[in-house]
Amino acid sequence: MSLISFPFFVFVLVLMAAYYLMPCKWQWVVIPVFNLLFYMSYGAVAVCFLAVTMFLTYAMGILLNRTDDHFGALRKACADKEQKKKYKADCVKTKKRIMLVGLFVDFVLWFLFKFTGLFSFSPLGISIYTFIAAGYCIDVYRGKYRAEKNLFKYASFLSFFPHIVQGPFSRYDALKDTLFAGRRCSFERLEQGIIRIVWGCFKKLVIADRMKAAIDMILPRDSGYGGVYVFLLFVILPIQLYADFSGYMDIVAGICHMLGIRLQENFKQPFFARSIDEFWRRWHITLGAWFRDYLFYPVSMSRVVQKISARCKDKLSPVLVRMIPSYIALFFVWSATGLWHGKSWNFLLWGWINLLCIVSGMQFKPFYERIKGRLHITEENKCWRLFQMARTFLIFGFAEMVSDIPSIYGIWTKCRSLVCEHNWYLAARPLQLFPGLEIRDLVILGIGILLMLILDILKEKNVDIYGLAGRIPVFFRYLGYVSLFYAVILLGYSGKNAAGGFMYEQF
Amino acid sequence: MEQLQKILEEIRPDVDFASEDRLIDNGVLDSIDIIAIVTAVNNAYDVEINVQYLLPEHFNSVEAIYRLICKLQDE
Repeated sequence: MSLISFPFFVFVLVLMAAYYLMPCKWQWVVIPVFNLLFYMSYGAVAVCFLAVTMFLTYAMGILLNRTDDHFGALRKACADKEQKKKYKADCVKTKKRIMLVGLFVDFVLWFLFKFTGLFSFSPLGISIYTFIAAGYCIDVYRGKYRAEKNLFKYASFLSFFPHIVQGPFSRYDALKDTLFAGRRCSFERLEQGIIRIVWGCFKKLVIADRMKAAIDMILPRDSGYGGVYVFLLFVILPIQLYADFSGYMDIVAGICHMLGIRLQENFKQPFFARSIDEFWRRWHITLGAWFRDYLFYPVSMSRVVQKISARCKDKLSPVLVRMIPSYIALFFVWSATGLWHGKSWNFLLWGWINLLCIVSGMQFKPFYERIKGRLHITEENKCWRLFQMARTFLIFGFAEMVSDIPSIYGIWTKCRSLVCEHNWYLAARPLQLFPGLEIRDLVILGIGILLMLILDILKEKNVDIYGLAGRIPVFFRYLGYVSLFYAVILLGYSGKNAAGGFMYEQF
Repeated sequence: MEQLQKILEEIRPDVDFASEDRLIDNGVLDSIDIIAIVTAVNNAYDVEINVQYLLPEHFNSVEAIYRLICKLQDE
């Protein structure tokens, strides 16, 4: 059941009715039922695999709690300090074993589907729920919170349909209170949720799908489009992906807003980032946070890595010694992030491009600062900020192109054409630059992207968008809403190259 | 305490560690800073800060980090 389809529209309507007709105390019960219905629409077999992960990680959480309680009671009853220490060490050892077994089974399932090609299908959202479930287990192991005792509540969380297809990577402690709390229906919340859904549809159907049509024509190695068209790819790929992915997030966040549930935000105006490092704290935020908490920290703080750093103490500068654990961990993080996106080597290369940018930015920071000082450039300088934002944007665009072309020869051909193909004069003729798109499409794209930019500028300035909309007189506000709705209906791209599904669904 | 403050100032010379008591909550330190601090503290004080201790209350101020070091040295 696609998020942009009539059956899904009916699904949301029935969900709202069922949710708000329930007594507040039992509203949360509606969620697992609709999660199941939503998931079943993608095939009943996939449910079995989701159930395996669900039961496994639920049982693991309970076991971890019981281990904690058991050794906690032993330590409480014991007066000897040494014995207490032993109990603590035993507790950590037992918990670690439980967690490792659970994580192993959890990730083996994911690995089998994602990397081996043994199965002809992949359960919907397996990359998302595997990682969410793993995060839950690690958090319980670390004692961040107690495991959920109620299986249905845990099932509601893990299979929560707004996050299971493309994320966000929700955390149990962040979602549980808002997911299980009852609330009355609010007209204001419904209105705000609906407009966010329509805005998400606008981004997806009017902007992303329209741009995808041009990208699909330029991107193939043998497309015949090189030179200025490749540079164009660097520019339009990030915008297209942003409109597609954040459009999806707006739709699911809008649905959650209507239910009064706060979903973690996954984007924070990424194109205002001034470095790749900052970019990844603004783009797909919850994925970055997952890798930070469950891979970056454990690797960088592991005994092995800390020992490597300690051994270098007398051989390298103190600054480099302190950075070594981060560099080693970042290598693992970006290799894993690349492989999470796809099993082919170009995704790995994509990860390493990001790694290179981040590490070089960290390592050469003092050098850059000296150069900036000599040129009298300050951080507040607007031109400098614009340059940094444009540089970050283009690097991201280049990396995206690498991830979209599955052969090294294809990437080389595209990059070489930037220099060898003499068609840069076309930059002065924008109407000829976008294959597959007519003047009408370009005008619609221009207006759509401008709207997206204005909204992001307002958000960057911490303007409360809902509050701002609420201050507009009712007539004009609803005129705007209706216009946006009709724009989606009338201007939604339906050409032969229309993208259809969301880009991130494949992960 | 003074030695610790000196270590922290070497890592982030732009931060006033003496007066700041919400280093994590206010986003003053990022994950890279935290790891640099952990590595420097592990080397200087011969302790082992592991992931379980990565909580804001242990890294929000110089005093908090110092308390964590004392706790680990006692264990």
